[in-house]
Amino acid sequence: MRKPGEIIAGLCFLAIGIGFTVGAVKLRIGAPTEPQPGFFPFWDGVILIALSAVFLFQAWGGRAGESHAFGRLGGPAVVVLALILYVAAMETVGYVITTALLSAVVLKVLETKPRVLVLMSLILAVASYLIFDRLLGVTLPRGLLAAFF
Amino acid sequence: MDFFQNLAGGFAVALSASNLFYCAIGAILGTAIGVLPGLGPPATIALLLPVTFKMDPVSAVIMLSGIFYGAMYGGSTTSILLNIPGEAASVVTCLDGYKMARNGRAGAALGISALGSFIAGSLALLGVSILAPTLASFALKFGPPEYFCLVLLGLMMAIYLSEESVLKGLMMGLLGLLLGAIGLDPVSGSERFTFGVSRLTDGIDFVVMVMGLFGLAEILCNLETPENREIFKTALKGLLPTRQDWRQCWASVMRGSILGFFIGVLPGGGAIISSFAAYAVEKRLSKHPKRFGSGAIEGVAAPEAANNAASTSSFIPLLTLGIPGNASIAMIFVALMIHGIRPGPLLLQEHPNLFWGVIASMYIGNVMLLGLNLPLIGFWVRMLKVPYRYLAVVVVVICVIGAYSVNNSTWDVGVMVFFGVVGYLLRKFAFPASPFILAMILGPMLEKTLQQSLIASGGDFLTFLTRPISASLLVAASFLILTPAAKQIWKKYRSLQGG
Repeated sequence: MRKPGEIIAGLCFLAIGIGFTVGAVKLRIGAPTEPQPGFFPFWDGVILIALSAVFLFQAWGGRAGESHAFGRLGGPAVVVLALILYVAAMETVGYVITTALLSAVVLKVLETKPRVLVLMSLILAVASYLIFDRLLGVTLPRGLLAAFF
Repeated sequence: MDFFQNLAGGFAVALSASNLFYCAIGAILGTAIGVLPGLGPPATIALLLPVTFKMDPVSAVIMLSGIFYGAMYGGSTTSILLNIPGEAASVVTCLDGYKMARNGRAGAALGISALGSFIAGSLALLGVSILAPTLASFALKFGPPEYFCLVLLGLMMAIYLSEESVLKGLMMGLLGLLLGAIGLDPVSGSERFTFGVSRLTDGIDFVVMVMGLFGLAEILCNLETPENREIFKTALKGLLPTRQDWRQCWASVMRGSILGFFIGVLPGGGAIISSFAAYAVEKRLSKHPKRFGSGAIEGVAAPEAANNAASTSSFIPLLTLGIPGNASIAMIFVALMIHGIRPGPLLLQEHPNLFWGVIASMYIGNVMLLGLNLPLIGFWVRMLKVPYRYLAVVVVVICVIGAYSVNNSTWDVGVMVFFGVVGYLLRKFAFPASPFILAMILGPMLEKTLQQSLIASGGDFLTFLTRPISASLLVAASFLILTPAAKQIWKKYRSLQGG
């Protein structure tokens, strides 16, 4: 059976191979007697392109081997989105607030009761801040709560 | 004589108060993550790497290796009681271990796996202490061509032995080599593939990447399905195997230990394959193979012994050749590099304290683990009752802080999230992560030795074939890659002829 996901995966590998090969040519390949910085990545890229082609060929015929079915994609998708927002907001909003919100999202996805969710997120955010920032010397961004800490 | 002197020196290092403390921390953490499904040794070691930056390198490696071999002990607990392998290396223990628990013999199964692991771990350590120095002095004779072929063979083995298809393994290996090329060229020192992003000058941060690939990715996979875990309720009595049990399985423990030891030495070998191999051997040798799968104690003893022996012996290629054989050992490689110690044949001469100290700590760690596992089994079982959601959210927060703490920047958190998503997708399409990690670590060495060999030989690729050691290594490497391809072509040919 042909799986569109596998074709996309194969195309990604192919694109990476082409990208690095082109980049390596720009870096100059040199000769075996005098290899330049592009020499090693160039040959890696060429082999990756060839293998990706074989993989795509197999995937097209539905013979690309095993893959695992996706379960409910909602959970992972929501958490990844939350993590992207988290990275964007962490410096300005601060570690404690963003981490509490991130934990709440993860707990929500895993079907936690509301009261436990709020309590757990707050405890986790504050406790991890105290342990890592105060005890272990990792300077975490304070953001909006800078006045209080 | 030298050997005992060295080992005594090692014990002096390992028995210092602080090293005993770190060894215990490693063993406890290792058991805990081995018991808890959903967080493996590579991710845990990666998460703890930033903590070790300020530690003494010997203590750091002692603690990190404790996590690695401790997980092998803990992994069997969940396999036996829940039919869920806490660790990939304990998958095969489920087959007979869980059945034994169902038959009311959970205690004996847990007991034999802990004792078998202990015996195997101790035997393997003896093997490491004897074999490693010999191998290291042999490897000192290697020039760049030999090293190039050796690294290539190591990578090919990791690919060949990875569970998924060889083609996928090769693709992941090449991807690792290419991403490993980002940053400074190891030979000329010029910038490559940084796209003008100054953060990429030092390459992709390995620690951050592994946290994503192994830590976050694991959580993302588990977010797909709500938790569903049922602990098999049984009275845990009679943890010590009976005399009858011992008579039945002492030979299995020995066979498992020896098999595991030799498979573990191979790059890419490691604990997972050795446990499956040991199980298969026992089943074949048994007079009653039908008992396997319905609670045969040999089916627990042999794989548990094998995975422990293999996890110990997989330190040999790291400490003597500087070639990590699996993802966890790769993390320890990175820890050594961060401390400015280059693992390889010279390690034994330059840092004998580290080498023998770590070896001695493993002896001590094995004793500690026996003490941790047998009497405290009730505690570990209770830990399993903590709902997964709490574990998941804590792991996410630790991944975030861990990534942030490497350079105090949110850029690294972003990189961690990126590789978390990549790791999640790779799992879904069954692309193995180990060849990728190993290739990324070994890439610079592969490139450097290739260029040195070529420059020395005047650009002649035949130099790899005219030197006996490199030639045999190269033949072995090509054999590994060509066999599966040849098999496929042969099958096709046969089916065409038949049809």
